Amino acid sequence: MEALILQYVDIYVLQIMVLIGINIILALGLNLITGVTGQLSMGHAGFMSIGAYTSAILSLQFGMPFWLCLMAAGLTAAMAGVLIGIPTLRLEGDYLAMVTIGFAEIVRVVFLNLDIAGRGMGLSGIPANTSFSVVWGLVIVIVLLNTGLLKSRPGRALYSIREDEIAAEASGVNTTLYKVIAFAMGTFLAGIGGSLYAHYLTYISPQDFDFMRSVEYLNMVVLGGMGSIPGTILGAVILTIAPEGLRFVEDYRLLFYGGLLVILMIFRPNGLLGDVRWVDVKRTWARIRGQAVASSGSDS
Amino acid sequence: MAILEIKNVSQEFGGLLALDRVSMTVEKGEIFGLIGPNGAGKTTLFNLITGIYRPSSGELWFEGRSIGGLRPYRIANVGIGRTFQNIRLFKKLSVLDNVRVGMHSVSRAGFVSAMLYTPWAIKRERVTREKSMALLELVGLQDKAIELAGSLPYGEQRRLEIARAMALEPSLLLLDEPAAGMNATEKEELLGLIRKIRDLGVTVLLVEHDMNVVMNVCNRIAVLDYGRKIAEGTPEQIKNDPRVIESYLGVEL
Repeated sequence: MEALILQYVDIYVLQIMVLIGINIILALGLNLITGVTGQLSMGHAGFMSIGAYTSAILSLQFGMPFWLCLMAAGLTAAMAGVLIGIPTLRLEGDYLAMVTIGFAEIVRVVFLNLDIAGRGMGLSGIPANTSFSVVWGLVIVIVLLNTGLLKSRPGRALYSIREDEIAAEASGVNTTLYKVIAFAMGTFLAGIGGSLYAHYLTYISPQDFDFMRSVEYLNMVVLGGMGSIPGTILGAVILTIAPEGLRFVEDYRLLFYGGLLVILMIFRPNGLLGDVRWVDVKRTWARIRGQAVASSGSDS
Repeated sequence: MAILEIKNVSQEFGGLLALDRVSMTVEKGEIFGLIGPNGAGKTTLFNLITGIYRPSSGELWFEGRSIGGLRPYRIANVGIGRTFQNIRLFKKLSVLDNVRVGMHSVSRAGFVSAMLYTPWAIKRERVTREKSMALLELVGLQDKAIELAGSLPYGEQRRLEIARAMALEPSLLLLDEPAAGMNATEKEELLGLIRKIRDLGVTVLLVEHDMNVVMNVCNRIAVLDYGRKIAEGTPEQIKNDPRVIESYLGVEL
């Protein structure tokens, strides 16, 4: 697959495409937690790093096959998610934000001090198992699963928690359980993304998974549209390409991100595609076509 | 036959006694009104029944089982639906989706079957959609199914909340000031809707300030004042009860 693509584009472009795919997976995970269910998580990079290190260590130290490492990465991250999710999510209010900030920092410091994780030097020589097909194959599967989920009963229950948690409970939704499940699913995807990341760059260190990393994924979800799958994908694409395409503002990157968010919050507080519903798109299209027909037809 | 029994329930918030040894029984199939001045404890009682608070003392029995202290979603599952005083709709979801969330405990499609698009889940989705559309027809909102709930005018938002509560397929429906903010025509329609709901076999417990509505549609009424029940009886009895007149209804000049 990669050979085929390289016939048309630069290897640099191919690398960007793989990174976009990895970021889509991570962003979709965060979208489930924050965009759909409304639970603000500011430690997504922490779960990503759990996945990355788990996968790298299992691969380097124990020689386990890639697919096994990948699954283990997702499951370990999800278990961590459940562990901190259960005590936190039974509370009403935005405590998850605080807990996840703290948790991600704790994780970073732990890996910084673990010998098996390479301490400050990190891990290098990780087998390069991540390829274009692996990543994008997973993206397609994950998008399909996500779409099925969000159009059905459990998906509606998650949206209702974001909209009004008390009314959701009164409608029969076990909000604590569903919040934890959403968090587990989101962190699972973070772990998968982390593993793909590790086996692509072949080198990871604690600095790769700092608070700014968590903010980047949050930006993708917020920019693209909270709760929207196409929106999140769009956000991931834009914000993966932007740092590359805007290398000349490298030093002003933080300024750029801050400015982008401010502009967004003023004009499109729900993200680019956050308020866009498929049914509205269809209606607008029908109206455009109706007008086109009316103006091109003869007097009636 | 009693569907809801409230036995000696008291509710304390810090030093404040919001409910003081309140007891009442709602019979199956009736429309029971709960009235009283603001702050009397009516919504507190609703919140107790629906699990938002746990009673400081006393018992709550529904269809023969104790429900005091159960979490709100469990109360919804046993068949008690409610609307809220200041309307809690899922504003960014469609009208149809609001009702479909209400069907949450009725349909049983889970995470895995939804993600995998199993035929069983798809069938349950179809059933959910049909039942939800039927409920929208009951309240007259079927033409607005795909509109955003937040875009509806006030009166229609109230009707949507009732439809959502009815989606639980409840045996008992708690309506918290459903007529608030409605004009005369809307109130007439509301009376008709409440009677239709009763005719469908649902018992209704109604908190309301509009006496026309209450006296017109309720079989029995209880009056709360400062957390205590001060009277209970038929609309005729309540209208003429001196304690009620003094504390709430007012004397004719």
